[in-house]
Amino acid sequence: MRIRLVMLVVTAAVVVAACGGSESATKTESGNAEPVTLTLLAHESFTPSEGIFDEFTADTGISVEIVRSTDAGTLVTKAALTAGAPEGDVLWGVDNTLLSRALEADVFEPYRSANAEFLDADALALVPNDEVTPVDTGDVCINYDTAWYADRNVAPPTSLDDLADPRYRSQLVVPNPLTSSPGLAFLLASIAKYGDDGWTTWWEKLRDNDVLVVESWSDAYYGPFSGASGKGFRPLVVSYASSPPAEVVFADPPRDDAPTAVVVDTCFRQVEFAGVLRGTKYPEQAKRLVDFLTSVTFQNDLPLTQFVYPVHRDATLPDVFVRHSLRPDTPLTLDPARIAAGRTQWLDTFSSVMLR
Amino acid sequence: MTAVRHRTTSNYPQGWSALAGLPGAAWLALFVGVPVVALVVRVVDTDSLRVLRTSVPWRIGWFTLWQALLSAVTALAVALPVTWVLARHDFRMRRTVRAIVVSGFLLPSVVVGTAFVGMLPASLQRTWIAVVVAHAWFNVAVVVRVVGARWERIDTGLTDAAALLGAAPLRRLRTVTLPLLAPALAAASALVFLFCFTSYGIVRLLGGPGRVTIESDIALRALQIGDVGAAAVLAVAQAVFLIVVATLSTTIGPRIVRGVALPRIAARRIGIGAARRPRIAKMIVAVTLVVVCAPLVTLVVGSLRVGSAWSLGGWRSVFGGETLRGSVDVIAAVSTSARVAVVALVIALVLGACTAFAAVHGGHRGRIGDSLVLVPLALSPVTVGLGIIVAFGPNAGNLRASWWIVPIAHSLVALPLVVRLLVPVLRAVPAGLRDAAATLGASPWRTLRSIDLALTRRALAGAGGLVVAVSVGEFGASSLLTRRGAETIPVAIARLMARTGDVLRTQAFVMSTLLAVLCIAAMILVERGDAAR
Repeated sequence: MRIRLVMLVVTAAVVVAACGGSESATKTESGNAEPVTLTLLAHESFTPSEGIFDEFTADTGISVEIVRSTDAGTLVTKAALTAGAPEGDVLWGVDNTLLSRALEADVFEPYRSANAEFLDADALALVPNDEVTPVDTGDVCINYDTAWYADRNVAPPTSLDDLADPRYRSQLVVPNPLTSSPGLAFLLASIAKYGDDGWTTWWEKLRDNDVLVVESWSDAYYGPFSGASGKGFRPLVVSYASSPPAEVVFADPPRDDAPTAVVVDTCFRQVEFAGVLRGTKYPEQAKRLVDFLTSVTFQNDLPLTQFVYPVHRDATLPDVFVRHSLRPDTPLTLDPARIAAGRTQWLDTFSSVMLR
Repeated sequence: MTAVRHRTTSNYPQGWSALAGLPGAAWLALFVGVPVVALVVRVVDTDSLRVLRTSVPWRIGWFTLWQALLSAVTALAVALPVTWVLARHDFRMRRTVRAIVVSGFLLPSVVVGTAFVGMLPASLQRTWIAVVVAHAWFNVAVVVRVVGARWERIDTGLTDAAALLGAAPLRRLRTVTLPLLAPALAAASALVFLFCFTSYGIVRLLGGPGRVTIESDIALRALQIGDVGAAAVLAVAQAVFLIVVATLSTTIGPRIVRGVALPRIAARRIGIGAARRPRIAKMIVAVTLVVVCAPLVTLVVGSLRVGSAWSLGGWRSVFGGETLRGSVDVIAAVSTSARVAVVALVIALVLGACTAFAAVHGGHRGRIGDSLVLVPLALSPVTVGLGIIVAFGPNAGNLRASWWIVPIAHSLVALPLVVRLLVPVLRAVPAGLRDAAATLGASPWRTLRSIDLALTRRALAGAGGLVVAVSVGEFGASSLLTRRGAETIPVAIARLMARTGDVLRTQAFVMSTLLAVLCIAAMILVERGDAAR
């Protein structure tokens, strides 16, 4: 009797599991007659306005579901591991520091966006074979707490050199480049500035200057950094050139001036891309989504939701952005091929110098 | 014992019984053997070995080693007093206290990590201290179980005699109790050491930058940096180290720590009131209970607070179905975990039962599967996951990108435990019963059903509970293999904990509380199955 019960449970279990399997199968295999839902894979910072895709859905009949991953590194690695059998249809958020990894793994189906001629030419030039399409740009820079320096009557640092100066001892907190994409961008900034021979020496000086390395950007910005939450004690942090306008937009109570500012000579240019994932069941629909992501409608939404610069020439920047954000004329950059060749080695070197 | 074992082989045709071991062996060969070969090929094939020329793996290896040693010592220090009280004293609620003290080990590492994030002050978080404290807490149960079992068998007459001869308590401890306990102490330390050496979930949540074990560095390289070659090197190196340590601790260990065989005696405990210093014993129990329960209480309290205010918001957001920015779909994670656990349960139970049957009735050929089953134990879960990633890529049907790979990995982790649990139970089935059934005209199938299956069904239920507990709590392999949108509960918790935001944190506590309850329920099944032995 009991045994029969056990058998029954096991059978029921198998049936449940089988049903579960077929349920997910029907979801992805539904034919073109059914309305299509595209899965847009993105990182945690991809936060467009609520309902931004409604227009796209109305025009094309295609719905969009966003699935977010924790950080850009994991997003891209996971895409590389599932190349050809992707977890979604379109990926948003592979940047120039990680692009090589995705291209090596053949993650994307090349597509030249219908909007290509309107997009930032420099960004477009990074992908001559059109594997992905640039969608936004931004700069990773040192941010400082303006009040902290004003109160003490001290001039804030103005360069990467300054950060290693004992005058700024115990003031900087950086996210770990092994686990954070702005952290990686900042590491690349130092390599762009000091070259293969000099960057480790500079980091050694930073280490002797008591720089604090933490796990992620949010750990740094909302933790030890004093400019954001007011709880931390360090006035310097690695963040974005657009963090000051974000502070103003989200200020509660409202304020006119940003509590933080950017050290312009420390900025590293980040270009983010989106692309059609190879192996998607809906390549045509996915391409239309890429077109929408590079359209003026979507590009106009970027500055105030994600605090990045649009790449579409006709997109407009809101006032608060123009006033408080800073756009370095000559940001630090590194050739993608050089990043591809050096990245893992640089990370190991960083690890042995800084995480002892 | 040997006689019984010999007799058991007579009832079933040996050749056919040995065949029952085939599916399990094939499963292991495919999903463990092939991946291991693929890992080794990856190591010798590429410039992956470059990583060994940097100082990084050595530094990580050194940290892994010393934190594991320190964790083992700390666990012993915290657990021995209460082990003594539980082994030597009788009091109301003794069984309950023991059950609570050993319950910690049943919890998934992610749950424990989350609890300690909630409990430790900010200044201690993401430090080696946090890692060691959580490891020690986790392993109190191991010490109480392993050392306690031997302590109960030490005849109190020996210490009484020493006392009569004028030995002070400390001297009795040093000259009588400790030498007799030594083998258990060594075994417990070795277990805790190995466990902490391959720790991943705890380190992911509590370790800071650079404070990583080899295990979590493998996952970091494979998952975030995308340096699979170096990850393979570290995985193979760690596996070799683990096998060497495990072999040493079972071969040379007993020769160094020579233990006297203790007779099986009924544990003699004195009433706690009659103890020479009842207050000390009571205090030890009270302090231990507080230490053991604090993280669990933190978990529940944390699930009821958003920011610094009391709120049911966390629970409501979990069950209300509202989706928060940056949140994970809790209901989806629970249903994924349930589905994965069911598939893993069926695979592990069927293969495990067959393998155990072959081991008991299939002669020496039947025992091949039984020994193969130990291989996944020697590999860490992250290594199992990494091996699958390397072996089953685009050239092998891209199985690594399939949903099924997660329950398959869980079945590999659970299979050795299932077989370990079932073999002694099957072996203990009296051959006489089968003889009687055969005499009464029952076919081997009928005998199998109404004798062996009937007598082991509680053990089977226990094994089932174990598989479910392993599956719903498994984090190492899952973190490498789960697909986006199909996260299991532990993976979802780890993702929530990696984010900022009061509500997200509360949701992580809610899910951890749920998972803790689920695991404890599953393990109660196991305990009951275990009692059937």
